[in-house]
Amino acid sequence: MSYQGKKNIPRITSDRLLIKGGKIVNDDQSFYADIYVEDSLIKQIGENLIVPGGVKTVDAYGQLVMPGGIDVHTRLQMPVMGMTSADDFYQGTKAALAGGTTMILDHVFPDSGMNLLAAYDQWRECADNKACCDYSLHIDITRWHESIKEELEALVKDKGVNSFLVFMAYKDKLQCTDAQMYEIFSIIRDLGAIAQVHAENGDIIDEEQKRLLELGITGPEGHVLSHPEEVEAEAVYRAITIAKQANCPLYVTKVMSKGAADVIAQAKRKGTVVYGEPITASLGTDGSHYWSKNWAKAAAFVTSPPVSPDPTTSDYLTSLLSCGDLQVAGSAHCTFTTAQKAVGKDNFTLIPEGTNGIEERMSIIWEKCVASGKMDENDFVAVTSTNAAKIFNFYPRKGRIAVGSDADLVIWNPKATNIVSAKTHHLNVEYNIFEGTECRGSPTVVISQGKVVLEDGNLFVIQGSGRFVPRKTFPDFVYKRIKARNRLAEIHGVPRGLYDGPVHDVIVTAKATAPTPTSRIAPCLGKIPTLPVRNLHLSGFSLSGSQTDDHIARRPAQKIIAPPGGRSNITSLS
Amino acid sequence: MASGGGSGRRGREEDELPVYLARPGTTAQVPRQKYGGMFCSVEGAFESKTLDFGALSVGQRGARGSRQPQPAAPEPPREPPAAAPGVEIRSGSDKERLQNLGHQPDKSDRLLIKGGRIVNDDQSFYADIYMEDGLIKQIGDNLIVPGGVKTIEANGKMVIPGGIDVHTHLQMPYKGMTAVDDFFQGTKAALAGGTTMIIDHVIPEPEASLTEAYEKWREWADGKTCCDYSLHVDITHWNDSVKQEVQMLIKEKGVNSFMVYMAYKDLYQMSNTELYEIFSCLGDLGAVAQVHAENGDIIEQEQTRMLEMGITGPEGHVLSRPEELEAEAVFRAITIASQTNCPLYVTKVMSKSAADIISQARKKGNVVFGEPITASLGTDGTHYWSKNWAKAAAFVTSPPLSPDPTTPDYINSLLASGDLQLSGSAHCTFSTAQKAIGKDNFTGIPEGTNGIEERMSVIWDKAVATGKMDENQFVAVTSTNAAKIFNVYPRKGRIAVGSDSDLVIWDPDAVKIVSAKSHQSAAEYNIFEGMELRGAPLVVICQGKIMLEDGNLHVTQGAGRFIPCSPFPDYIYKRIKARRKMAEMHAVPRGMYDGPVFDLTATPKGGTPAGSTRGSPTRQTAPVRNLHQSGFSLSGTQVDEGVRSASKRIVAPPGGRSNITSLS
Repeated sequence: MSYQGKKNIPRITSDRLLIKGGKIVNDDQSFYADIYVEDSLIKQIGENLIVPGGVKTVDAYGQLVMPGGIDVHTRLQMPVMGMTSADDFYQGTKAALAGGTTMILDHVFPDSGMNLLAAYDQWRECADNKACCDYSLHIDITRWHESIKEELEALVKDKGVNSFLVFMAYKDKLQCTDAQMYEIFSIIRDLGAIAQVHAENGDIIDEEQKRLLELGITGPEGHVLSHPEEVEAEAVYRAITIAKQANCPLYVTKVMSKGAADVIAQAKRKGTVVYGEPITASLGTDGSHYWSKNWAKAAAFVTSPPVSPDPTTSDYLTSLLSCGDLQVAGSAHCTFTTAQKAVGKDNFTLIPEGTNGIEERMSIIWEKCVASGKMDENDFVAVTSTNAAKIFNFYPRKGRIAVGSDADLVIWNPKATNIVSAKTHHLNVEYNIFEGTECRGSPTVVISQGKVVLEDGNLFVIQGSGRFVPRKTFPDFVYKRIKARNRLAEIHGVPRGLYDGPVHDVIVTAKATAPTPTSRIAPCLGKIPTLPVRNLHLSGFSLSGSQTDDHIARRPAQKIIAPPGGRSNITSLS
Repeated sequence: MASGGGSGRRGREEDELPVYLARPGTTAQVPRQKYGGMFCSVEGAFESKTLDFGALSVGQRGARGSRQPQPAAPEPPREPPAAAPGVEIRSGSDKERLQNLGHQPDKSDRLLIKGGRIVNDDQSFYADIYMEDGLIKQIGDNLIVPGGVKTIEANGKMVIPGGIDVHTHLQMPYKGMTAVDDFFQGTKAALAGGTTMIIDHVIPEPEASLTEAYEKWREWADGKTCCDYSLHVDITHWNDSVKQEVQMLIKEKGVNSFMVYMAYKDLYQMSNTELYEIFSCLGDLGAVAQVHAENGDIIEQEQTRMLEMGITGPEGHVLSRPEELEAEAVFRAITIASQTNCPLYVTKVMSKSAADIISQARKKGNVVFGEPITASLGTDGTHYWSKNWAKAAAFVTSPPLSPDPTTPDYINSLLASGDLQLSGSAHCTFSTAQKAIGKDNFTGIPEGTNGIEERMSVIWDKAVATGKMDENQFVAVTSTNAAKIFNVYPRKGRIAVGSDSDLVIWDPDAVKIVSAKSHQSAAEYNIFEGMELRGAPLVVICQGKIMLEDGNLHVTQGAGRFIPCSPFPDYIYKRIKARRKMAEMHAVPRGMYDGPVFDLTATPKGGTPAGSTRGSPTRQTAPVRNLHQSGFSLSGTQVDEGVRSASKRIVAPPGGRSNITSLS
C-alpha cells in the first residue's frame, strides 16, 4: 500500500483507488489491466492509466481481481417463532464482506397476516440502519389473499422488488396450493418479475413428521428422514410444470439434492425457463451429520430442504453448477445459536431451520469447483456474481468489472489456504457446519462501494453504509424468451358449424357437489329413464323441446348462415 | 395329417415360421422386412423360441395342420375339404355320438383344440388342448379324450390366452346418463375382439358408500356380462369410514385394487395428504393403488382461461389438459407411493412424457406399473381440431389423446420393451347426443372413448406386425401381466392345465377395417374409424364355450362370473414386503441435550399471530447476541419442564455423554 505523490491527502478519503497489476476476471474473459475507482464507481480500466495524484494504490500483482460476490439468498435477522436469527444485518453483511461477497439479496418474510408492503418497509428500516454492503430484497409470499395482486404490483412498480418466493412446504402455515401458485405465477409473469419457489411437498412432509414422531424419533435425524429427497424433486417438477403452464420464469431456491438438480437440468433441456440455486451447504457438506451423537452439531445442520445424506451430492451439484445446469449460488444464511436450536430438543419439528454459509460461499465454491478443475475462474465469476446480477436485473452495475460499474471488487488469492472454524468466523453462532474444511482460495482485499473493507485480514466496515439496490422488471436475461413465447402461445378455437344433432336431455342436476343423503341411490333411479339408451335416436327426441341450454341466449342468425369451411354434418365421418 | 414324421417337418422348417414374420409383402400392410433394424427380430429367432414337443418326444406326430406355406403350393387332400387356412370346427362323428348317448353332443362343455400353436408369455409350442367344465384339463399331443368331443382344428394357428381388459367403464353413470355400452353390449364387443375378461371400475358418487356402489355394480354386471369380470373400486372421498369399507372390500368382497383421482377438482380430486393416507392404507392391506394422474388444480385454471378466450369446442379439452400436467401428476403419485412403500399403477398413460416418467421411476427401482389404453396406442389427438364437432367430441377423454402424432408409436415401443406392462381400453362410450351436452362448453362433454373391441387388434397391428414385440410379449401385455398384477394368475392369462379355458385362436393375417358400421359397440362413432388392422381373433372361447366363430357371436347374457381378486399379489408385493423389512428407521441414541435453551416468550407456533405483531419481530427479540451473557440458566422454568423426567438427567447415556461445546 502506498500513496502516490506523497501529497497531504488525508488517508480517510479513500474513495479514489487504483488497483494495479491484477488479472481482471469477468465471466467472459480474463485480462491484465489496472483499475481506477472514484466515487464508488469504476472510472477507468487499462494500462498506464492517468490518475490524479495521491491516490491510494492497491497492489494486486499475481492475484485475480473479480467482481464482488453476490449472495442471492440470505435470511439475516429473520423472525421465527418469536426469535430472531442470530446474525443480524450488521453481523451478517460483515461476514459476507469477510468472505468476498459485496452484495446480498435478503428475503423479506412477512408474518402471516401481515401486509407485504409493511413487511418490506420493516426490512428496509432494519437493513438501512445496519447493512455494511449493498443489498436488495426478495419478498416471500407467505399467505395467499385476494388483494395480493395489488400488493405485488405496488412492490414491483414503486419499491424496486422483482422477485417473489412462494412456499410449497410448511403445511397450514406458508404452503400454497397448486391453483394459488398458478395464479401467483400468472401475476408475476404479467408484472415481469421472477417467481422463486421453496420446493418441497409439504403434505407428505407433514405426514412423515407425524409418523416419525410416533416412531419415537425426535432428534435432528428425524428432520432429514421426514424430508426425503424425492419430496424435493417432486415439488421442483410440479413447480416447473405450473410455471411452464403459466409461462412464468422460475427460480428454484436451495437445490439440495441430486434428484432436484436433475429435474431442473432436464427441464432446461426441454426449453423451460428455469434457474436453480444450490447453496453453500449443499455444495460444501453433506447430511451424514444429522446422525451425529452430538445433538448440537446435528441440529446445526437442520435446514429445509435438508442437506442430503448422500455424501456424493456435493460433488454432483458442483458438477452441475460448473456445466451451467445450475446457474447461481446462494448461501441461505439463516443462523440460530445452539440455545435457539434447542427449542426443538425434544421435537425435531420445532428446531429453527437454517445453516450458515454467507462467509464461506466463495471459498467453498473455489475449493470444490475451481481448485478441483471443474470450472475456470470465469465460470466462477459467473456463478458467484454475474448470473445473479443478470437474473435479478442489476447487470452490469454489479457482477462485472467494466467502466461505469459499481466498484465492488475482490482481489482473490487462489493460493491462500484457510481452514473454516467457528473460532475464527465472523458469525454469532457457536457452530459452523463447514468446521474443519480446508479451502484453497480466499479474498485478500475486498472493496465495497469503492472503499477497502478488508485488507490484511482486518475488516473496516461501517454499520449502515449499505445501500438498497432497486431492481427493474422484465430482466432481459430472463424475459426475452418469455416474451417471444407469449407472442407465440396464442390459442385459437376451431371455427365449426353449430352442432345441430340431438342432445341428450340431462335430467339430474349436473354437478353433484353436495348431494343430499337421498342421492345415494339416485344414480340407480336415474338410470331408469335412460335405460333404452340405444333407442335414443328413435325416441322422437327433438330440439323443439326445452333444452338444458335454453337459458343461454342463442342468436337465431347463427343457425342460418353457413359457417366458413362449409357446414359440418354430424353423420358424415370426416 | 398325422403322417410325415420328423424329417418331413424339418424339411418344411422355414414354412413353420409365423406367416407375419416370414413372408413380407404378402399383403400391402406388411412392413419392410429387413434384418438387423432396431425393431427387427434376429433371423430365425422365433424358430428356436418355439418348443416343439413333437420333435422332442419319440413317435409323435410331427407335421402340423397345414400352414399354407405358399399360396401356389398344391394343397394336400383333406377330409372334409375345409375352407383352407381357417379353422374348422366339427362335432363328434355319428359313431362317437352313439357311444355317448348320455351326453347332449352340442352342449360343447367338452372341447378339443387340435393342432394349434400355444402361445404363452414365456414360450410357444405346438400341442392340443382339451377342455372340460370350463377348465383346461389336458395339454399335449395325442390326448386321450372322450368320444363325441367337439373338435376345433386350429391348423397351426396361434392359440393364446384370452385377453384381459384391465380398464373399462361399462354402464357408467354420468350426470344422470349412462354410458351407452352396458355390461351386455360391452362384454359382447370385448368377446368379438378376443377379450375374455374385463375389470370394470366402480365409481361411487362422492360421499356415497363404497360397498353400496360395489353391490350395485355387481348387480348390474351379474345380470348382463357375457364374460368373466372383476372390479376395481374408485375412492372418490376419504375418511375413516371409507377406510373401513376398503378393508371390508378387500377381505370379503374380492377387490384388490382401488383407484384415486388427482384430477376433477372439487369432485373426485384427492389432496396430497389424502393420497398419502390412502396409499399407506392400501399398502398395508396388500392392494394395488391405481391413480388417475392429472393435476386437477391447473386444469381448472386452464379451463377457465380457455372459456374466457372463447374456446368452447373439443379442442379446448386438449388445450386445457397439456401433457405436462399428466407427467407432473404421475411424478407426484410415484413420489408419494414410494414414500409410503405402496405399489402404484398408473391408469391411462396417454403421453410420451408420462410414459417416460414411469420408465425412469422403474429404472430407479420404484414398484410402478403403467397402463396405456387402446386410444393412446392406436390414434392421436389431432382429431380434436376436426371441423366435425361430433367427431372431435368422440375423442374427448381424460387425460386427452396427445396431439403429437408420434405418440402411439412411442408408447407401443415402451409397451414392447416392458417399460409399460399391460394395456386396457378405458372403454366408456357415449352417444353423440350424450356428448352434445357439452356442445357449447367443452367441460360438459362426457369423457370416454371406445376401444374394448379393438384393443387386441390394435396392439397386434401396431406392435407385433411392425416387429416391435413378439407374440409372447403380446400375450404378456394383453393378458398375463394383468393377471399377475391383479392376482388372478394362473387362473387367467395362461394356457396351462387347470387354468380357465378362456382362449383365443388368433389369426395374424386377417385384415379388418374398423368402422362404426360393423363394430359391436352402441356408439355412433369409432375413434379408430377406417383403420386397417392386421390380426384378428378367429375363434374365441370363454368359459369353455365357443363365443365367436366364423364371425358369428354366440353370447349368453349373464353368463359372466365375478372373479374375486385376493390381496398381496406376489408379482407386486414380494418386493414391497422385502423393502418394508429393510426400511425400519431408528433414532440416534444421544445424551440429553443439557445446554441452554432459548426462552420462547411468544407463542411458539406462529399460526395466527395477532395484528399487533406487525412491527414486533425486531423489537421483541432484539438483543439476541447477548443471549449467552444474559445469565440465563436451566434452574428457571423451562418450556419443556413437563416433559423431562428427573431420572434422565442423571444416567449417563449409552455411548458416553455428549457435550454441547465439543466440536465432534
